[in-house]
Amino acid sequence: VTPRENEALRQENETLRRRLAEAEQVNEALTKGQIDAVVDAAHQVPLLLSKAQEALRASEERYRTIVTTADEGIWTLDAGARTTFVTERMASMLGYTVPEMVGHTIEDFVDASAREEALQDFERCRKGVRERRDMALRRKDGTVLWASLTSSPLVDPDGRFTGALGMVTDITEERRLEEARRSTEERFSLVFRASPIPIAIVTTSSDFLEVNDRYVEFSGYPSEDLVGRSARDLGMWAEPADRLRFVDAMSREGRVRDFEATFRRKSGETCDVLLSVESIELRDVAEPVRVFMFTDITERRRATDRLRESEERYRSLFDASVDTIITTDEDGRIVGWNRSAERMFGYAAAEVIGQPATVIVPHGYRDRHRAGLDHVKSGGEPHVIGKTVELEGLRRDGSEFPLEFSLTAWTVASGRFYTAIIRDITERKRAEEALRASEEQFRAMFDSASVGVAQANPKTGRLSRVNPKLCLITGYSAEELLTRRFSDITHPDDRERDWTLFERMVTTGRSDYQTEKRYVRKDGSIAWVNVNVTVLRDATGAPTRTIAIITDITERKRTEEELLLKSAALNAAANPIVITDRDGTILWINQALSRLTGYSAREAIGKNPRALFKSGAHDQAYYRRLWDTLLAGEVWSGEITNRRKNGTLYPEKLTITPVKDARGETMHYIAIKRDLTEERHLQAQFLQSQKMEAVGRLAGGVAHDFNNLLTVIFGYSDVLLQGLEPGPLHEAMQEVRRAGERAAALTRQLLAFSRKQTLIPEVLDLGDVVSGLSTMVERLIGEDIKVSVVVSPDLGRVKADRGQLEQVVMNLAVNARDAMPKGGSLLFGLQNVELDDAYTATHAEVEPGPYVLLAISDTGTGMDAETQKRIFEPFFTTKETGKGTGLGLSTVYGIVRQSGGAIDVYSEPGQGTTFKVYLPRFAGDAAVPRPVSAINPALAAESETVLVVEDEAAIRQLTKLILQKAGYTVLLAESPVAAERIAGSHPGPIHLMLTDVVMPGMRGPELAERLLRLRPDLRVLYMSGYTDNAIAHHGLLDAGTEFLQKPFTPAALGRKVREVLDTPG
Amino acid sequence: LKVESTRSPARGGCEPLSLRLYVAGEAPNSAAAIRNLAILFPGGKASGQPVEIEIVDLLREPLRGLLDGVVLSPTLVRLAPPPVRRVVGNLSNHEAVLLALGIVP
Repeated sequence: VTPRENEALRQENETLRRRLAEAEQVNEALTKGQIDAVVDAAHQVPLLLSKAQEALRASEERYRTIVTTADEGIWTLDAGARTTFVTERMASMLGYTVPEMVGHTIEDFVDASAREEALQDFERCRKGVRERRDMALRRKDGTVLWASLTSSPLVDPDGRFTGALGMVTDITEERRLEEARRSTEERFSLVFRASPIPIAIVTTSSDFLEVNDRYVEFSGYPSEDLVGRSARDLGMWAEPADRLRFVDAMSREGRVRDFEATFRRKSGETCDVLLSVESIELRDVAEPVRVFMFTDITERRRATDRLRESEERYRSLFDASVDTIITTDEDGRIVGWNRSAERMFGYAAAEVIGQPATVIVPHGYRDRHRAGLDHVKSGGEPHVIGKTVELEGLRRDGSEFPLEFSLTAWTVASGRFYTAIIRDITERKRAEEALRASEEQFRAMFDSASVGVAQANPKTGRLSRVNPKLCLITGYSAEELLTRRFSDITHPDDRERDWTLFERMVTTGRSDYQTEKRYVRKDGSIAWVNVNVTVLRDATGAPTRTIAIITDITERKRTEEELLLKSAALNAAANPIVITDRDGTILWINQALSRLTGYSAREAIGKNPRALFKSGAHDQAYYRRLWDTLLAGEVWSGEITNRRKNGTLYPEKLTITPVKDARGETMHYIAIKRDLTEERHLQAQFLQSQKMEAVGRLAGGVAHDFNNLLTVIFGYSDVLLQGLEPGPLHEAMQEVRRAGERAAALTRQLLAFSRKQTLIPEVLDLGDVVSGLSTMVERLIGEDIKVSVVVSPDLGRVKADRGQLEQVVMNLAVNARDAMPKGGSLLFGLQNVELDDAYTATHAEVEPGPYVLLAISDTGTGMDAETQKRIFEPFFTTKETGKGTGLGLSTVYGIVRQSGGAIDVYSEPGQGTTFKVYLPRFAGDAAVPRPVSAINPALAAESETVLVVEDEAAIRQLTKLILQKAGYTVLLAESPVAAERIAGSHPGPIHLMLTDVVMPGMRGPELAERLLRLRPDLRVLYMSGYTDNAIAHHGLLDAGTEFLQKPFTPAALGRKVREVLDTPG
Repeated sequence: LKVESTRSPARGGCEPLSLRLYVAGEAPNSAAAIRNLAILFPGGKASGQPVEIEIVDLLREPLRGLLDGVVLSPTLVRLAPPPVRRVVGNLSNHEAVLLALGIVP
């Protein structure tokens, strides 16, 4: 830096600092109000800041207020356009405070649009230009402040630019008003230009001043061709007369409205216009102007022409109309009469036009017609306006006919008219009449129908119409039914099915359905009905209503049910039944018949019974008699042997009944059969059992007498034997005695078979009994036969006579041995079984229930069926003469039966034999076994007295002899009566009564009972050759009863008597 | 019009002080400025040196102010010695006035 440059910089620095100091000083002076005036540079006058100097001198503060309240704002800027000073007024104009503005450049306060301009102004100011202009400033809030600004440059005494002074006036409001005015003008100008109506502004001298676009379009002249020229010059008046009328009208009225004229366009084409002209004054035009507005009415004219054509067309329609159209005036005179009217009434138009309409009104209607006319004349409207009424018309020939009439009124300039449109409804009336008749017929049918008829809503099922018969069926009145849906009276069990059918019909395309259902009648009873329901649909297929035809089928149902029941009964009947027609062809068979014959219903129906069942067991005569009876109309009944499907024959009881119709003619036959197979079988069994019974009774009777005889034989044989020395006589006596024993054994077996022997049952384990006997059995049947006993565990017990059961076992074992001469095996099996109905059905002698089975099976020769049948008969034997008595199995049979059991035999020749013995299982507790007392071997008991009651003298004497010999005191009674007498009279004690069970007058037990009353210590011992009916009925004496079987030996008697007496009481 | 003094170049310190006060008639600040000048330069002298003081009433001669670039009154201008200096206001702050005029109090 050169010293010179340095100096320049120093000076410049100095200058700047000085200026700054000055600016600060000026600012201070300004803000402190030390300024009196400002020179308005533009106007070159100093402006005193206040005119009320004196008043304000006292307070600088208030003075400043005045400055700031001056209308103009004052604003100084330095050379850099930074604000050095603003008055409060200036600041408030812009919305700032004074301090906020100071230091900021002008740019911060100028609207963006004016920024460039403001800077240019400032530059001009720098060059010394003073000017005044409008400028957009920006307020603090961003809004624009339009200001009128006077700017003056500030220079120092050296002439250097130091800044600018601005005097600012707010002209925002003026600007706003100005803008408003301009925009209003613009708007009107726009309206003018854009108006759809052609508008021309014309001077008083008829020159075009301005036209709008539409006018240019309308006239065909561009606006430059128009301005300054007149319509007349351009030949726009197509009719010169129009112009003259117009001029005249304008001069009279100053304006025209809807003036009709013909306008010629530039193209030469003319058009009809309506012209309206108004005189107005324009601000910028000295003299008044005329505004022409045009309406092109060419189209309107054309429309009027079309209307006329249309009227003509209507006129022809009027005449051609099928309907009669008659128009009258207000006085009722005919003014319009079309061709159809001519045809309908017989008058030509020319004849009736102008005539009163009364000519076509029948006499009966004329009063009404006249009244109507009067009403119209007095200002009223015809009552029939807008309605369609039915009346009658009068033709020219005087005939009357029904018609339909509708009247319209219309008013035109020439008055009010009435137009009637009339239709001949003769045909329709006839159809209506026919319909009514038909409806009446239907109504009658509906009401008197013998079936129920109901209409119902297809959606809800609500009844909408019902006939009396339906009321009768349901028990409800019509009123009651019409408040219900048909479902309401349908039986609950049928409701759902019924409604499903109904709904399906309504919703699908089905037209009807038929069903049977139940109604619940009002009284709660059931009515069976057959219902045929049809749905009616409208043109679109939507259901409109349903119609049901209801037939009461309660009676039929009842009959059906009855028949069904009968049929079921017939079918279920145990008896086979066949129904044929009168020719004998099978119509029906029941199941029992199928079961009997093996023919199914399908096989049998349609056939003749002869072909199916005829066995050939009967001759022709038999069948002839049958048919003779039937053809005579009588019932045939008989037994007949027929053939099953499988060829086997069977006997049946057959009853054939002719079924006759009302006239007594046979229509059908009913054959009721009874299968006799089982009956025959039972009959055979019964005969067998009767035979056995008879044989048994015979044997029993014989045995009884035998026993008495044998007792005597034994007794006296023993007496004799005791008295005889050994030798030939003794030997002989022994033979007699042995023969007697054999006879006794025989008799015993006979008694066993005849089930007349006395059983003393006790509760036994049959397994023990059999096992106990097995050793003896083995010895009895020899070594060639293997014996085994199988007892199932838990084997039940039986209540039976031990000795008798032992006899059964032995007899069967011996029988088996005889069937196995070459050896084999013998099995005793014992188990519990339950006998069911199936078994007892064929073994009538036993009851169903629990049994113990003793099965005895051998591997012997077996037997054929014929032998099996007779095996239990007494004296039936297959053994060689002398080898068996023929009583062994009979005895077994008798014992088992008498014990309440049953016996079966199963055998095949060569296959061995099994006997099955069933004995009732004992359920109760076993009786306490009688303690076996030690039998005193000494027979004698001198002090003891025995009363012997026996009606057989030989036995009485024998007994006495034996007992006396044994040392007893013996009292004899030949009858129970005698016994009672002795018991009552004998002075000493009676220790024992030995009595026969069966005696004339009184039985043993009864006698014992009587005597025990007299002598409670009395012991009783019964003896009997067989038990009589009373004992047989019970089957046995009570357990514990002492009993001595005849025939007895003297030793047996002595032992038994001793045993009884020694038993502790 | 051209006022010589406003454009006179700087001269030596011995040059007599020449002042011009622009006032607006007898407006309060203008009157106060005149009074203050009398106080600051009693007897028309500063530090014993004579002071040339001219008073211009802008109300009467507005053009003179404009020409001198004076738009506010009262304004005191030091015409000499150069450079030209201005003091705006009623001159009540005597120290500031003296400082502005380059006169050490």
